[in-house]
Amino acid sequence: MNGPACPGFVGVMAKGTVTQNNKPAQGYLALTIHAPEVARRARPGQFVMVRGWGTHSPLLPRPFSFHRLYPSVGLFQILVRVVGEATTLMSGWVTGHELQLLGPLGNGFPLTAGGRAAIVARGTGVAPMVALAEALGALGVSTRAYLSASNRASLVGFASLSQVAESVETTTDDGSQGPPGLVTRFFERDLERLSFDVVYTCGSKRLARATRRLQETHGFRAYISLEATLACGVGSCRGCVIPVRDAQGRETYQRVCREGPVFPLHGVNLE
Amino acid sequence: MGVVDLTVNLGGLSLKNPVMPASGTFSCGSEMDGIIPRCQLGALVTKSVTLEPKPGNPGPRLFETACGLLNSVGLPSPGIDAFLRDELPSVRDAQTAIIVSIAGERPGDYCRLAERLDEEPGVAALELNLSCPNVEGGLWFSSDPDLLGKVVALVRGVTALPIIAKLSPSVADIAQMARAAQEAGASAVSAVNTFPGLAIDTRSRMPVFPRGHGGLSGPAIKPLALKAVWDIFRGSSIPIIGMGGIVSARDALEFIMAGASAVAIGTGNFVNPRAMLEVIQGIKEYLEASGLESPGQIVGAAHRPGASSQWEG
Repeated sequence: MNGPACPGFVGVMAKGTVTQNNKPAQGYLALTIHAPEVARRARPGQFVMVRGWGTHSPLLPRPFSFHRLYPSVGLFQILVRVVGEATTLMSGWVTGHELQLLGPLGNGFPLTAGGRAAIVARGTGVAPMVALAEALGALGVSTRAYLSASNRASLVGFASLSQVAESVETTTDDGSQGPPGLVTRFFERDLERLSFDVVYTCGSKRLARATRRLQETHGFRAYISLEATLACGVGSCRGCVIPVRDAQGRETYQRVCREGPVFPLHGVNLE
Repeated sequence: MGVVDLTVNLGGLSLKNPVMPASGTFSCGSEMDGIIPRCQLGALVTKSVTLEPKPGNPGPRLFETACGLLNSVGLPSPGIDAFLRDELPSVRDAQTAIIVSIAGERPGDYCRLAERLDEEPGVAALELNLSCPNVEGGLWFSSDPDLLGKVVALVRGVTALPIIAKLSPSVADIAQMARAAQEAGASAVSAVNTFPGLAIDTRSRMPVFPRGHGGLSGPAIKPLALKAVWDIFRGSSIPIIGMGGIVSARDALEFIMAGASAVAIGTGNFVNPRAMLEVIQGIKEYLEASGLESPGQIVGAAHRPGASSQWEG
């Protein structure tokens, strides 16, 4: 149940087909892709490299975490924020559009059966959290989610998480759905009466720093999913490194694509 | 029609076909076997190894440009001891030629690396990375023909392995560099390394890379790299491994016709992880369709008399 099964495995190269391209919010896409082998192997927190244009610009495939996993029907979904050339092209993809895929890649979220988990995410950082919450649910983990976004419309994943999580608290910068401020305040409130075994965070260094402060006083395990510009996606090019501190306090460069994208929160530089 | 024989000989280095990864772009361990069986490649080229462990540059290290990729990776290396202990053993069973890329800060570094590797079984050749644009002094070795010749000659003195000199495109006369490498005892040249390039973040008003510049690769540089190969073929007789923006068999054939005996694919591996296999297959199909038996028959084909004379003074 814990990450990819075989050491050295870097995923499969596969053809994928777009089966649905929905717009869950202004500026976001939820792309459903048919690729049975990728969907069967994928674990929450892992990612897939996607390329679906025949030209040299954009040049590189783009990495996306798995937003939803439907292995029994050979499908997975990615959540895309439209921010640049590649994602603008993706917003025009229609059912039947063919894709070049490489995945699943990287290490997924460590999962343990039972207990209580918290999800702390902002904006597109919710992308891997829905698949995670579903997997946690299947393992009998009680999950509470804390989501932050600039406004109500950008709280993508709220509806999906509401179905699988025990509770979902939100903050929005403009106050349109939940007050402004750090959503970790709700987590901190819950920590006063509940014990959490593990916290998963993505999408905001500010929230990650707040989570780490709470980790120091409450001692739960915590993991962060990181994003980076990738070229190869498999660890060859060493283009995506970040400084990570080990237990002895020694800082080394680790590859977001290969040692990550999920890292123990305590070693990651959040400045 | 005869059967196509893809084997090539690069100044004594025999390869099963003319296609290999460019140094630093393809994991040489077994991880990629499910996607690219290593044994099908003409050679494996390792990431550049240095004497001492080096972390490489701080990030960000990558920036995509129009049809290209700027990198400022900066030669991270486990160092030669860890390389020999941890990495080379996993490459040895690849059933293809192993070319170890080496990089140094001083001419003596290359010698010491070559001495260590000369004793190792399974190393087919050494590629001297003389032209990394991301480290201090890197461009210096490959921009002065005397210095380049000195480094090659020093390495020649300590190993019998074939030596491949990797050339920088940032020189006035790249054929002169190739001749210097050849006269000093190199068996082949790799041409070309990345072009120095720059990108600026308009929000911070600073270069996107902490070090400032990076090296540009990908389809954006293909015509420039092709011209460099063409010039080397004209101005020297050393075998050439051509590289720079190759993503397809047609690109590779252009390099071969410009004068390359073999080709390397770098950024193309990121665009399409199966690019090397598709290029091997595409070259084979082209030769078959043309009634040819060997890629050697079209090396430098574009230089035949009269082919381009109308464009030159």
